[in-house]
Amino acid sequence: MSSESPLDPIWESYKVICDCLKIAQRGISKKDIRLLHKTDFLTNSEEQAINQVIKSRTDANDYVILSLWATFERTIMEYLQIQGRRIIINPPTAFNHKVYEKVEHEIEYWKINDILDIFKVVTDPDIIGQAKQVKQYRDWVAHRNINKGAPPNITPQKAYEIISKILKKLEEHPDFGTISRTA
Amino acid sequence: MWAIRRFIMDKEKKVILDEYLNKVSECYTMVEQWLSEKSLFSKQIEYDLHEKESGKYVTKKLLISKNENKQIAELLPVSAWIIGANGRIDLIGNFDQQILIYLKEDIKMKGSVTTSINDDEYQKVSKSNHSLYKGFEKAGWYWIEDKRFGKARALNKDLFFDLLSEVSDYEF
Repeated sequence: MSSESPLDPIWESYKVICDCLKIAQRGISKKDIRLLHKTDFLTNSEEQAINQVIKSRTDANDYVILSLWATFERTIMEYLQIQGRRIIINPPTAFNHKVYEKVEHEIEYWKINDILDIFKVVTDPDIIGQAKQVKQYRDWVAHRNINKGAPPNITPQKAYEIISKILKKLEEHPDFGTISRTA
Repeated sequence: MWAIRRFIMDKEKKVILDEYLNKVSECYTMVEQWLSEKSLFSKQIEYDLHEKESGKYVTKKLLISKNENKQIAELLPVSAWIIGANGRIDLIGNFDQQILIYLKEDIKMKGSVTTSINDDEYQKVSKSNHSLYKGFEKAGWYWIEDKRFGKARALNKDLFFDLLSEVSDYEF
């Protein structure tokens, strides 16, 4: 079993970015020139520099949700493809090979909400519903379609918890075996 | 006690602001001279600024024109309280914007990494320590060629017209 979720490295990097922004904000507030030397904060007013940090933190919050979701989506698709391989061995006929090839190829085009619904049999359907909300927020961050309006805001922490919970459930479920990935 | 501290702080802020407004005025006088040598027009108009440290105050911006109807750029005061400088004016044209800062003295930083983070922000120490900006010669207005490399160039006539060309897309 893998001890580390594929989401963990992204989450760790995000926390480091948040810490760096916090240190930068302290440096700006204290006008600590040694910290701010050779940065773009120089020649800005304190207010401008703080606003830059705040904006960067908001952007980082959005980007981490994009990144977490992309990894989550890729991971669950890979699980489906791995599970699909069972078709070949039961029994390993030319026909089953063809079926498997078709399934493996087509999975890429399945709608993510339909894929998530498959997992309702192995995890709490309520969590799947929350994951769909993360996806909705991710789509809004990626496309900013003002005609559709902004969905309820999802914090990075909440998004990380929700989709981590699903991956953990998959990892623990006997049908799925290990979720360790080669990538 | 609080009232006295407040009074001292307000006085310090007033000194900083007055000095900035003075330096802005000196900069305009210098630039207006250069502009007239190239037969360009200039006009100062009142401009309100609001800063956290001082509240609202009135300063002036300098409009730069090719002729009486054709404004090509302006010098706009930005702040008296700037990180790593003693004031800032922006040169803004239709095509770009350049930052000019006033440097009162060479800002030195201690070279050693063992210094306390709570030391005074500006370290006026021995020559072996690093300057915040390479190129500082004496108090005056500077253009920061590159923030990341800390390169400053003193504002002179040639540099000003190079910057004016850059922001306005006019040649002089």
